[in-house]
Amino acid sequence: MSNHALQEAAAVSELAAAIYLKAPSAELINELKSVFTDPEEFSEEPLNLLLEEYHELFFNPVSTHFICPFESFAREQRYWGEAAIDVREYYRQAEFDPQSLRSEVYWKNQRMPDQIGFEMAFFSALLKSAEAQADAADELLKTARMFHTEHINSWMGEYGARLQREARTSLYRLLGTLTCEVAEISLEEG
Amino acid sequence: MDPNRRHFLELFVPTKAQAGSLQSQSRSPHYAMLIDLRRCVGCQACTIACGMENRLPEGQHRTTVADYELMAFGQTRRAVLPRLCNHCEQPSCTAGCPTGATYKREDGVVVVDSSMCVGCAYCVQNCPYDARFMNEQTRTADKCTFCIQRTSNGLLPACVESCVGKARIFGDLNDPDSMISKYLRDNPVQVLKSDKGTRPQVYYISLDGALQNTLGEEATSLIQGRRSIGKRG
Amino acid sequence: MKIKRRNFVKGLGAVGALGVFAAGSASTLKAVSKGWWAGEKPVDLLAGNALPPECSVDPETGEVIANPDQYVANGLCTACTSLCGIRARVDRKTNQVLRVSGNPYHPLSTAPALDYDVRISDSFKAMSGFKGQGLEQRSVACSRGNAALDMLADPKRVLTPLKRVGSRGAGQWEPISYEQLLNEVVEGGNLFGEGQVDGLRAIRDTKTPIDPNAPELGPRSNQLAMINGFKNGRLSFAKRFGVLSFGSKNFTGHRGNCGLTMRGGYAALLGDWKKYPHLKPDYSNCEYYLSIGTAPGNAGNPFKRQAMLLAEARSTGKMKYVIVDPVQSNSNSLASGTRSEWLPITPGTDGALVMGMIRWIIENGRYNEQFLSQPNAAAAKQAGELSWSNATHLVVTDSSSPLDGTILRADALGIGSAESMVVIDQASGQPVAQDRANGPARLFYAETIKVKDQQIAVKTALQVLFDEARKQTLAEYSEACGVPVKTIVRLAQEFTSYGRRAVADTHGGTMQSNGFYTAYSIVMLNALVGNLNWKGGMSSGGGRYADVKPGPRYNMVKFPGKVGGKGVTISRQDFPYEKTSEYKRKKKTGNPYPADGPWFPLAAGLQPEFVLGGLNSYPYPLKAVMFWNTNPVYGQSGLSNQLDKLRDPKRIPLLICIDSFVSETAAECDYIVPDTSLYEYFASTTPWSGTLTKISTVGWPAVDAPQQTTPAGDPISMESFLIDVAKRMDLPGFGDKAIPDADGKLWPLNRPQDWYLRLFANIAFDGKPVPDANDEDMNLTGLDRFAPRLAEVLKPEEQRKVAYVMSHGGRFESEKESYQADGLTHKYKAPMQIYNETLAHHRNSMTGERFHGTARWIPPVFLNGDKLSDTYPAAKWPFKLVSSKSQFMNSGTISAKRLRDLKPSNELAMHADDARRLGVKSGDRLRLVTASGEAVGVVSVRDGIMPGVIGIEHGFGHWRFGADAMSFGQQKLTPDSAYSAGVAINRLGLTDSSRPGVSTLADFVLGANARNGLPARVEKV
Repeated sequence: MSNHALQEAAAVSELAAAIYLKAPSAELINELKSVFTDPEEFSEEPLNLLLEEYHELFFNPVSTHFICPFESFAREQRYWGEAAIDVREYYRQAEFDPQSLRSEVYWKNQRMPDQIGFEMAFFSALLKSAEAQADAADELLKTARMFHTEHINSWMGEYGARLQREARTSLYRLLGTLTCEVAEISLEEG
Repeated sequence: MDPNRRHFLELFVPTKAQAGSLQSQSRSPHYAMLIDLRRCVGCQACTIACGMENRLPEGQHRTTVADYELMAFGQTRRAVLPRLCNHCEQPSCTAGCPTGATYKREDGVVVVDSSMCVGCAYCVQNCPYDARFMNEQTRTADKCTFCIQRTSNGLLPACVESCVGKARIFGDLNDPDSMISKYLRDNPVQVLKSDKGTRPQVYYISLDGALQNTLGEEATSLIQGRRSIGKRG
Repeated sequence: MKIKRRNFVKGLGAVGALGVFAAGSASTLKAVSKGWWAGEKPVDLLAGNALPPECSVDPETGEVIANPDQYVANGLCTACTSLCGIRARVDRKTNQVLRVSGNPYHPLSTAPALDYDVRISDSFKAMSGFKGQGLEQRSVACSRGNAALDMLADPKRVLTPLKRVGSRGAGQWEPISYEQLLNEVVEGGNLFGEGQVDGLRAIRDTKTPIDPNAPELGPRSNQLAMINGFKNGRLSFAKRFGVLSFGSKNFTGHRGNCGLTMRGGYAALLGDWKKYPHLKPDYSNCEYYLSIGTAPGNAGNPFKRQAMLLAEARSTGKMKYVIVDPVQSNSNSLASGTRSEWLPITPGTDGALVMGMIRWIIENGRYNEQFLSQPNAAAAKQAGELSWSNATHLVVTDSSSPLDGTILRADALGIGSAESMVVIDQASGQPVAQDRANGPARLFYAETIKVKDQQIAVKTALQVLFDEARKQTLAEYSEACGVPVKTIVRLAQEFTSYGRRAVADTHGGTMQSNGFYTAYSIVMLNALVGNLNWKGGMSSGGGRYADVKPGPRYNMVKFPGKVGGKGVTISRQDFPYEKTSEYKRKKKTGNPYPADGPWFPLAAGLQPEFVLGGLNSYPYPLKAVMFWNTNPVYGQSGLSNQLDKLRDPKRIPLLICIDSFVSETAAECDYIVPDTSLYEYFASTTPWSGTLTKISTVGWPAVDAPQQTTPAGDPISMESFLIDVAKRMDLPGFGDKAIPDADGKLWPLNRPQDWYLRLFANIAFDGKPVPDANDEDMNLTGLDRFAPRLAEVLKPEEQRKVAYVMSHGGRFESEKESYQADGLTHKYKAPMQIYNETLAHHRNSMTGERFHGTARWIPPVFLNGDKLSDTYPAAKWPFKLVSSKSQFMNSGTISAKRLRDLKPSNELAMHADDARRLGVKSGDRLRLVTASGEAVGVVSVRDGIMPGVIGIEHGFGHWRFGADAMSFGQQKLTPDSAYSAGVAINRLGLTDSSRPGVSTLADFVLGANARNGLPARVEKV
């Protein structure tokens, strides 16, 4: 796989992760505007609306708008499912610590590893590591492929589609689209 | 899992062992614990016995003994505080459980059904005593069960069995002749955080005010042991 | 689907709001390999992964239904020196110990203990919730007793014989076969490519003297030294090999590195320097307990019983206790209110406090006059006393007389025999022979008396003590120890206000270079109130059943060809310098003092000097040392920085260590032999006083040990190794004809069970034989599994009785026998010695000065009498380090992972005022420096510690056991920092340059290792 394609994959994953892990802010919106210049894809909306939606989608379990962003919940209808354990072991062996990410404090305070933003960040980091470590690149890519099959492709397609359907703001519709794209990244040769 | 072990456990379900007692007693026992702090020597035998009897993951405890240094009447003293789930009459934990996995039984024991627990940890956050934790191995909410596998077989909880100072007393409040009933009649007792309305069923003798409501968090220094049950580090 | 044509890479800045990685953190991940489990369902929905219980007890009927998958073996715990009886719950299928709690029949674990004739299944009922029985009678294990079983499965355990690769201490080992081990150790050879090494066969020569110019030193067999640990119930076996069969006098336990000063103090008080008895309080009835240098409920021996009875006595009982200790522990419990008091003190100065108390007590007439005035046993009995003392005996205090320092004998005045002392009869005012006196004698007397036409000065023993105490004022004593005068007076007043129900006890806190006299003065307080043998007073223990003796079934100490040890031990203990050839030689040409090294004629179990004597080749060189169940490299303060002589193969050519772990000592040896561990071995032992009734505790293999087995089928252990060495060398007392029965017929000793089962037979038949065990007793305790071995070894009439002893974990006299009226049933008969003549007879071999015969205050000194404080002035060394005890960790249990979880490390406990002055707070790192070394630890600021003191819990800071990188052949073990956490205070221990060669600071009378009160300074890190 070409270096450029790797970098693209890492970048889109990191981008989606950032939107999951950080509450909307003026800074975030401005940067997005400079990347997504087509108003069909992304248009600015009032910050308070965006904040409200961020909380309802990802935090408030009694909200009808809530789409639980944890893999275990999506696939096994429980927290700390098999998926969480598997993902935790991935992080441990890879020496990846979600605590070290620049994200909202409340994501870091909860210990479950299979949060969608964490998983995307991890995937991105694997790809960046493959690019940076020439001698370990093959193994790292293999890891990335495995992780993608087991923990990204397995659920994020559906999640992203649902987000696209149910989001009220264009920011989170966009996030849904990006999520689908991350889910369909192919790391095959050629 | 060893099939024979499962078999023995199935033999000894509560209904079978208590069959005799249910016929002759008109009502269920009401289990509670009393801890006489004058007798506790801070040896932590209970902490270890519980962990081994219940095969808890390393670093996670259903009971523990916090160990403090305090000033009392201008003199330095040491204070020890064994703590565990209080099996409250009005538990804060069960009210918030979304699946009903945790509930208080007729015999007073507050339990967690691990088949129904989804691991959201609301109960862990709601407990004012920090008595619950997420078990890393089973990945369900976990806490003291009064050694339900032992009491349902006519035995005592591990922490009581191994208490070197004989400080922990366990028994049936519905039996007026039980040792715990006698102790409660003969001694003034205190409970932790009595102002929370939880009505704990773990009673203390000689519980100092410095420890009662703050769980010693403001005590001069923590020497050893754990500040809260179940939390790592 | 390929990624969309957006060009994200160009458009995104890594550091803006759209980036989630801190700089560089995304590129350092490692690849992941899969293939591991995914989660574990709990065993039970409500109980989680809890163990199935061992039985069920019907709450109505009390009927016991045992769990057929488990058995409960009553046995012995050796995780500390308390030697409690425990019950080990074992899984039948996996042969693993699941849980440990107390043996319900054993007074160290249960109060009140179950009667011995109670059947096993009834003991299950007694421990249960049935009618609340288990609450009153619960039988417990402490945190260490509970957690110790994890040590059995420690991956760092030694499972095969190991031989060193490369030089000593390098940490590289080669697993060798048992056959190779035996061959090399016995036959010797060029074992390490460093030259010829004599094996045990060559060393054993019970006839030729080591040094023809000093034949008193003994034969060449003495050049094998066996250095062992505490009396864990297997020591007698090792002694049979080392002393009675191999013929070396060099055999020791650990006492000199543990609590010898306390033991010496009691030996002096009780007048027995051979058997070294000691006393412990009758906790249940004691009303005032002065505990100096030990804290009941914190550590001590027996830990659990002390704690359990203290808990009872301070809540529903009458006891008030005072703990005098530089460090406050949990004993000073807030909930105990006014029952408990902690008195901080400067380390090494407890003797000043106590001599101040003694002065005040005698000056104010607060001693028990009736007790002290009885000159002999008959007079005492007539007066209603349960013990007596030599307070009234006359001591010659005249330096012009050759009798100076001795107790005047009646034959010197022509009034009686040479065995009788002289007292001044109260009624007549005349000197009488003490054994003929029939009334009280005078307590105070300081006159001259005519002996063979010479007037010589004499004083009563009590007068000698009083005059010694009066050499300093209370103000001077107070200044020495830091305790205010009014507190000294208050303590003395309180102590003498409870009649016989006041006790003064001590233990390891006295392990300082003035420790013997400190201990003697503390225990002297008991004599002043006359509490020996009284309810609520002091007890010498209940004794044990006949085991290693000429017992009722077998004679375990006699066999054809038995040799015995002759000569002088390498530690120079129990032998006066004045009897040596060295002394005689030097005296001819001038002053015989100082000796070429210190001699300790009153000491026993002087482990530190076994090591030092070997390292200094004084008074003779050693050729081999066998360490077993002991770790002096860690345990002897000041030794670990001086290992070069130990590592020199020319100094002691053969070093063998028998141990389950690669301890600090094992790591320095040539061979490591695996040993059986808790619950895996046979043992027969007894508590160290602390109980009032007769107790024999036994252990037996409740589970199989994991290590390699010998050809005979037993796990390699101390016993099987020594048996096979002995058989290879054809040593007497081992092999097919070794152990005589009561008829003189010889029985084999080929396997450990041959010895121990016969020991148990002696116990079972001592006095009235025990009942027979029935099948149920045997099934419930796992002895059904064991039964074939009983049949292999024992006679038919013995088998079920031995099984009864084993099923109950020993044999125990009924606790109803504890008291007779107001006294103890088991009484110590000999008189208490206010003045100990044997002590006064001996001299300091480095100065020639005679030892003072009674208690005295002396500050910490070197062997030559120089004060420590002159070499280490406070201005340069402002702190004193003390070794304190954790309730959980001890020197041998670092491998118990749950104890490490509870307490992963120790701290440097320091007073808040000192911390403030230094500008440190809890959690800060601090460097400690003594004259011998440095260590860095973490500060814990307290109010509960004497200012100027730093307290360090013993048992941490290991550098072996797995803390270091080791290799066993191809298997490389990575270092585990969990084992090395914290500070090992002994690494900072001091030396004594007033003696030649390798040294560690010691008590000048007994040679006990001085580990407390180390002068130190600190540096911020």
